Amino acid sequence: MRATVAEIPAEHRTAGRAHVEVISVRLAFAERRVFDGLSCRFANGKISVVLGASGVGKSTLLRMLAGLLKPDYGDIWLGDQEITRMPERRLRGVRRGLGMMFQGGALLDSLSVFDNVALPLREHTKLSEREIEAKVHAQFEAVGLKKVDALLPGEISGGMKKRVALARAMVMEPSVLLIDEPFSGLDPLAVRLIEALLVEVNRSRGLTMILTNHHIGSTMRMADEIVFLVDGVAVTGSVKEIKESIDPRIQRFLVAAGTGPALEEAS
Amino acid sequence: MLELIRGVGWRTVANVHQLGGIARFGARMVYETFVPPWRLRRLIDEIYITGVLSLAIVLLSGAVVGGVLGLQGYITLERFGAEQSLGGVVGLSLVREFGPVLTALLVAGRAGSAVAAEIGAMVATEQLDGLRMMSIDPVDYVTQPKALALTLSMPLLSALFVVVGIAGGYVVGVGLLGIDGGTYISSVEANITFSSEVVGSVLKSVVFGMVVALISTWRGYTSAPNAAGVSRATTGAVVQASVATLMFDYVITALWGG
Repeated sequence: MRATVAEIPAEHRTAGRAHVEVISVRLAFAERRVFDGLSCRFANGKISVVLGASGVGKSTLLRMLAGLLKPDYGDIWLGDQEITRMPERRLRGVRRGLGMMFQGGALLDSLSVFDNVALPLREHTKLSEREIEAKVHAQFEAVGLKKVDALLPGEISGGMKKRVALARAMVMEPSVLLIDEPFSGLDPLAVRLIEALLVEVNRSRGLTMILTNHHIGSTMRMADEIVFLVDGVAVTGSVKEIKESIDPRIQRFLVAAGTGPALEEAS
Repeated sequence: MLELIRGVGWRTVANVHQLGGIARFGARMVYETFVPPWRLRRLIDEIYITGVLSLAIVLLSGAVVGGVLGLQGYITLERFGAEQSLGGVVGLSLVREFGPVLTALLVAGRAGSAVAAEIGAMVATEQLDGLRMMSIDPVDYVTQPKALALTLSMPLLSALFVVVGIAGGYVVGVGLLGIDGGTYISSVEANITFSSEVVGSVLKSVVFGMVVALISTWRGYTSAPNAAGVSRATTGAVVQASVATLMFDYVITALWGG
C-alpha cells in the first residue's frame, strides 16, 4: 500500500502562487531509485524548465505531474487538488485543465492533422463542426501552420509534428502546459521558431508552462525559473541563480554544456 | 530445490495476477459497450478492417478445407459403401468443428495480430497516453471498438467458411468423384439441424471471437513501449489466442454433447 505524507497547510501550497507543487516524492523502478524526497514548485503563469542529465527523471517527473505515473510516496498538487491518490476517472476531469505536448508528438496515426486537433473538442464540447473548424484553424495559425488539414501525421516533418502537438495541447485552453523535450531532433532554426512560439503562448495566454529540456541555450533564453534535477532531488532557482550556483554538480553540468560561469569567464 | 519452488510460486502468482488483469480489462470493455458514447463510426471501420479484410483468406481456406474433407471423406466412406453420406460428413465436420475453429485460428493470425501490433505501436509512440491527456479513455476509444468488431465478425466469417467449405466438398464430391448432386445436398440437409448444429456452431464462434478479441487487445494494451514489446505482443497474441481457442473448443464440445 502507498504511504502518504501529512496534509500540507493551505498557506504553504499557495505561497508564491505555485500552480503545481511536488512534495517529498519518492519513486523507484525495481532497484533503481529515481526520486528520493523530491520537492519542487512551479510558479503560476511562468515558464519553468526542468533541467538535468540524461536519465535523471525529467520526463518521469512530467508524467507524474500529468497523473500518468504514480509515485511510491509523496504528494503532487495541481492547484488545490492532490492527484497521486486520485482514481483514473477523476483524473480525466483534472486533465481537462492540463495540456501535454509529448516528445514524439503522440499524434494519432490514423487521424488527419485536423482531426487530431479537433478530437478533444469533439469529445468534450458541444461545438458545431463549423465552430470546431474555426477553433482548430485559429490554433494552426497560432503555431504557424498552413494547409495541413488533410495530411496524416506520417506525412509531416518532425518540427511540424511538434507544432501540431502544441496546437492539440492548447486547443482546450488549459491552464497548465506540460512539454516534454520540445527541441529534440530539431535544427537550430526550428529550435528558435518553437522557442519563440512557446514564449509568445506563455506571455499572451498566461499559461503555467513546465518544460523538460536538454537544450541549454534555449533554456537560458526562455526560462523564468529552472528546476535542476540531481541525485533524485531538485534545486530550484532563476536562470541567474542557477548559473551562479556553487553546487559543483550543477557547475559540472553547465560547464559541460558551455554555459557555466567558468566558461563565460574564460571566453 | 528451494529456488525451484520459489520460481514456480513466483510464476504462479504472476500468472494469476495477469489473469485478474485480463478479467478486469474484459469487464471494462463490456461496460464500455453498454454505456455512451457509442462509437458507431469507429466500430464500422474496425469491422471493415478485421472482418471484411479477412474475407479473402477465410473464403479461400474454407473452399480448400471443404475440398480436402470431400476427398478424404469419400476415400473413407467408400470402404464402407457409404459414399452417399459424403454431404453429411463434410457438413457436420465443418459446422461443428472446422468452421468455427479454423476461422478463429485464421482471424487470430490475420486480424488478432494486426490489432495487437497496432495497439502496441500506439503504446510505444505514446498515443494512448496522448488520449489520456485529452481526457479520453483509451479502452473506450481504441480497444473496445476493435474487440467488439472481432467478436461480431467471427460468427459471420465462420458461417461463410462453412458455406464455402460445403461448396468445396460439393465440387470435389460431385464434380470430380461422381456423387449425385441431389444426394450430396439432401445428406447435408438431413444431418445438420438448426437447434443443435447451427446454434452450437454460432455459440462456438462467438466465444472464440471474444477470446481472440480479449487476448489480442490485452496483449497490445499491456505491451512494453518499444519495438521488442510490440513484437512480443504480436506473436504472444497469436499464440495465446490460438491455444485458448483450442482449449475452449474442447470445453464447449464436451458441454455441447459431442
